[in-house]
Amino acid sequence: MQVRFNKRDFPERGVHIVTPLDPSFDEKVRKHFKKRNPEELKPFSVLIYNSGSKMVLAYALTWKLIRQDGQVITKTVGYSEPDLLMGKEEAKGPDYKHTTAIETDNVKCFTWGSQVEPDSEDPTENGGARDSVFGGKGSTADLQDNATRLREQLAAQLSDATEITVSLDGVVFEDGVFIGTNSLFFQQLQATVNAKVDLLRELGQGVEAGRTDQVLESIEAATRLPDVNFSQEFSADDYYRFYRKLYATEIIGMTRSFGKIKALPHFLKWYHADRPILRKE
Amino acid sequence: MDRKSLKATLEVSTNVAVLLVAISALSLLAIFFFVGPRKPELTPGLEKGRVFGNLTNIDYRGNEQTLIIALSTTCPYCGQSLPLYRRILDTQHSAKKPLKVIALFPNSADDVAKYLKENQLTIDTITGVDFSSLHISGTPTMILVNDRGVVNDFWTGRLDDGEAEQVVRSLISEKASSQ
Repeated sequence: MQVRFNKRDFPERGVHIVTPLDPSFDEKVRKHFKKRNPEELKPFSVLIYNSGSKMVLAYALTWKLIRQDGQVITKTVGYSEPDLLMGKEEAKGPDYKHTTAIETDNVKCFTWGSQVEPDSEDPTENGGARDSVFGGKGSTADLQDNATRLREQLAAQLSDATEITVSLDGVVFEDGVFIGTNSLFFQQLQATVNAKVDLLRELGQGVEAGRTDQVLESIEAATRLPDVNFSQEFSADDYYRFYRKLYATEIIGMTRSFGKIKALPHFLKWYHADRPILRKE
Repeated sequence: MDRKSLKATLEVSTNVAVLLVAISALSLLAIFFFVGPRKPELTPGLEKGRVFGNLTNIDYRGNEQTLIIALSTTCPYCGQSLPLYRRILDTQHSAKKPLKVIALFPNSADDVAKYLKENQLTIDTITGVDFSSLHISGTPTMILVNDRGVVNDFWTGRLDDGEAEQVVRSLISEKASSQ
């Protein structure tokens, strides 16, 4: 059974999809995943390789499958690590461990609908899932069973395909520039970043104006708002409200755990940090 | 050979044949059980940034961009995609970059002429094309190439409304089509 593997990426911008058919696939897997065997990742995994000069912070990856009967199955997943866009200083450091962002001359690995867990030096990290191709929590044995079962299901599903197209529909670089056609992904990311930045601004301005208690009360009120139920139709406002509540809970939680004296300077520093503006090219 | 020995020979032959069939069936089952189905074989498909296959009838240099639409007269998804192609042909003249649109068919010239007439589609065509040599595995597929024959973008299968809108936008937007 032959399956044709198409790829839509941004070679001119240094962001490449590397498929198992590319001669460099094995070498890249060995270089970047010390504990992974390239054969284990074949045939239905791809790497995203960043050969450009700017780190890739977020991207939307679409798998499109055309089955023998002509039926088309599509799955798009957005992957993002928007800390830098939110102004998180630690994310700029050379030792910061990026989970999703792709640094220069680095790769991340993906299969249908999910990221393949990277290597971990710490066996307890990731719930002991370092040997599992598919992410998740649980005992190592359970994870291996689940991973094997999932891999078999996936292989069976994908084996029925005559054609697979893997597309990068949107990419955000560390300077905030977005390229691609997936406007939905851009709006989702923008809503997420704005929710955090707006809260940091409200907190920062309130603290600096001597209204710390009032502003914390206002943020706490945001944590008590009703849960957001996402409708079938995408709404940037729903996304914004969902993340505003989430981040408000995070800010209030940290302030309670560490106390105002420790937590507030942390948020103030974050508020004043330089951050790139997310924008379409 | 007397009747008795013929009967005995036939009995032995039948038993051996039954045994052989049983062994073969069991072997096949065992192979399938232990080895499992064969892994699908991947073959290279379309890639952005790579030179599109050689089509001697097209000179890309004459146009800043060429949209190649791979169709088949027997493919139902091609028929369902015709409104999109008509829309592209309509916007072709308002595209900021000169855009040539051409349809490729694996079918004979007669079949294609009949198909175009039945569907009231006016488009330049090349017939009798071997799609596999062009890394195209199915229809419909659209490939946008630049004036050097390099693939700028491509779209496979029947597109939903959102994707179709993106395609039209990318064709009429100079910036999007140059990505």
